[in-house]
Amino acid sequence: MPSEVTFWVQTVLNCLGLGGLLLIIAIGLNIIYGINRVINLAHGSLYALGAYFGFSLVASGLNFFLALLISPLLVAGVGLLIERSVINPIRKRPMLYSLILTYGVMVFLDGMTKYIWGVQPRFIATPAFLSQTIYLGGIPYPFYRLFLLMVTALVMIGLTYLLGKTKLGISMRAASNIPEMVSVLGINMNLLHVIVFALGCIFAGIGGVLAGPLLTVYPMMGHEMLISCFVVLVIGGLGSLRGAVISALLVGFVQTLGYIFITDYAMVVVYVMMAVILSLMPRGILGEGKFE
Amino acid sequence: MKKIILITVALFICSLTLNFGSAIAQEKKPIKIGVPMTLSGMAAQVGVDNRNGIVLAAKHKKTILGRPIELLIEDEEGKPEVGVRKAEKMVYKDGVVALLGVAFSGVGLAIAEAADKMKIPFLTTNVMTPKLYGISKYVFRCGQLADDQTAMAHMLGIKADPGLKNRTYYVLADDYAWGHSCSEAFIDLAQKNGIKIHNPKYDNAALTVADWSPFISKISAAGVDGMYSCLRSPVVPRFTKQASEFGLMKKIIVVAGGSPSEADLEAGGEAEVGIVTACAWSWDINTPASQKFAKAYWEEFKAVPPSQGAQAYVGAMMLFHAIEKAGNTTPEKIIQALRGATFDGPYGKVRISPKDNSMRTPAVLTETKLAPKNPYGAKIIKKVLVHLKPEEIGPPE
Repeated sequence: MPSEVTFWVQTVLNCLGLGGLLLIIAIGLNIIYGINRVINLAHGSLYALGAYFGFSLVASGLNFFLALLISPLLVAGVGLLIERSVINPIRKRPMLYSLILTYGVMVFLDGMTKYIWGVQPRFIATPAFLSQTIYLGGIPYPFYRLFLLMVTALVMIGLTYLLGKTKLGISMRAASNIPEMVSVLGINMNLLHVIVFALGCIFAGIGGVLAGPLLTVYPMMGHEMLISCFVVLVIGGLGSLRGAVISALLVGFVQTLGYIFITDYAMVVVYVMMAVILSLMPRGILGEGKFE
Repeated sequence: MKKIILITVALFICSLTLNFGSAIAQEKKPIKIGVPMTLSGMAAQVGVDNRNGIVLAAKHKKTILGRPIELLIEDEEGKPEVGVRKAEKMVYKDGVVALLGVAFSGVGLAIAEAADKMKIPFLTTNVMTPKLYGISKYVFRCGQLADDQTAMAHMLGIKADPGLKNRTYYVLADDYAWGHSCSEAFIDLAQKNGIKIHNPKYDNAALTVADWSPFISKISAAGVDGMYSCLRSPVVPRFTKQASEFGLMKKIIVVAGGSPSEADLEAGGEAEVGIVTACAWSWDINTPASQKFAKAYWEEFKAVPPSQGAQAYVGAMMLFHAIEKAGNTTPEKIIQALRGATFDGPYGKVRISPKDNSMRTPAVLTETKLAPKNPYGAKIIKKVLVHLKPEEIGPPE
């Protein structure tokens, strides 16, 4: 197989893989903003917590797939505590309050993570079949990265079904657009906020467990991912799920290709792209973004 | 008149008593050593290994000039501006007599500049950049091999092994001071010694890179059979783990300019086999002094004894013994004692050259392999391939 073909096939798959991971995590952040109108700065720390929960569950002998199911639920539990104790009391206040408070939560979660698990880097062990290299027409590629793409697709299918075909999803979409009307129609907004926040945390947890075997579990992993997620959100438009899909893929491609061809200036290109899109299309590339 | 004489004598006796008491109190007061170290962030493990080595040295030395040793350990977060701030605080507020440690070159250079202004002795245990050579009469290098020493050790090893000598190397560096100096030192030596380099202008990777797949695909497409890594030591195991999943580790040998820590190698497991790296010490070294240190480290910290721990231990001992030799804690006396100081420790005799205030040390070239049964529960061992003498790796005096 010519090396150029191998290179480009691997590169496209790498772009999709990075985009997929960004999408799962950014969707959670987007959902929380879209309905709760909260920019959760602790989202990256929740993603890291998901990775650490996943590590501990697998290290204790649990199957990786079960850890992938349980860990996000544990993160959702932590998220619920945060929502009830920190977010809910300041819900009616300007967004600045939630920014400051969730920043505090982020610092707290980072400290707790370091205290419990230490600073040593961890890898989440995966079943042998997931760790192998497979050959796509002679082109070697890690099977785990393909698995990540499959999970991303499944998550998005599940989310699309939830939003389009379920009462909860319809309520969420309505609340995202006209929250006052939804409340008047008798839907319990308080409960909806709790469910949405938990759902956002579940996505963060899924992203953490998926990233663990790939990127290593370490204390600062959440910070770096949070910045990338915000880039995805800004480009896609705050609160726009369709926009997030396109922008996650766009960032995945630009960042990956940037590392290959410009290496040290790759992230500069990503941020410049974000700045240009923001200045020309303040509501994101699909014009669906919502402002406070 | 009598009264005046009596009062004068009484005052004189009181002043003598106070001075004497103060001298006794001074003798009992601990000697404070400031230890700025990276203890948070992705590369925290390097800092932890260094810190542990210094703590162990303090435990073994117990006292300096009959006074207990007090280590003031502060997290500089891997940021030069934080490092300088912490160093200044330790000197001006906490009254440390010397600074010891630092995990990274950027922070080391910043604190070196500050130490020169503050006129305080500063001994680094992990800074590799050659810019530290003779930078200030107050600044000394010990512990980790410098970039030129590392490059020389690797070059000697590569030239001696036909399996390494005939490869073409792809050079990938972290995009900061140390990454650049590491790459340039190796490329310079490689070109002088006929070792093939695929990309003499070397590729840089941003410090935030976590997904190495773009670089892995690029290296794979280049068709090389070797890689010289100037990635930070915590990053190397992550890179090799991802590379092994692409099947790349079957095609290339990775020579690591930044020796990966034992903790990081353990985390990566079998994927970390086959990394060639030079360092001052490995727990594979089978001398009584080496095994004694390894055992002491394991008993204290219940962790696989790390190279960086041993290197920091030697650096710390060097400083403690220099203060002892100086006879007091004045900076000028300490730096005088440090110049030419020697310490015989886990990996033999290390000396600080008066020419450039940097150490001359033995080293070992190692390759990571699956560990045999061992008392530390380690899965991976840095197996010693070659022992190198101080005069072989230099720099020349």
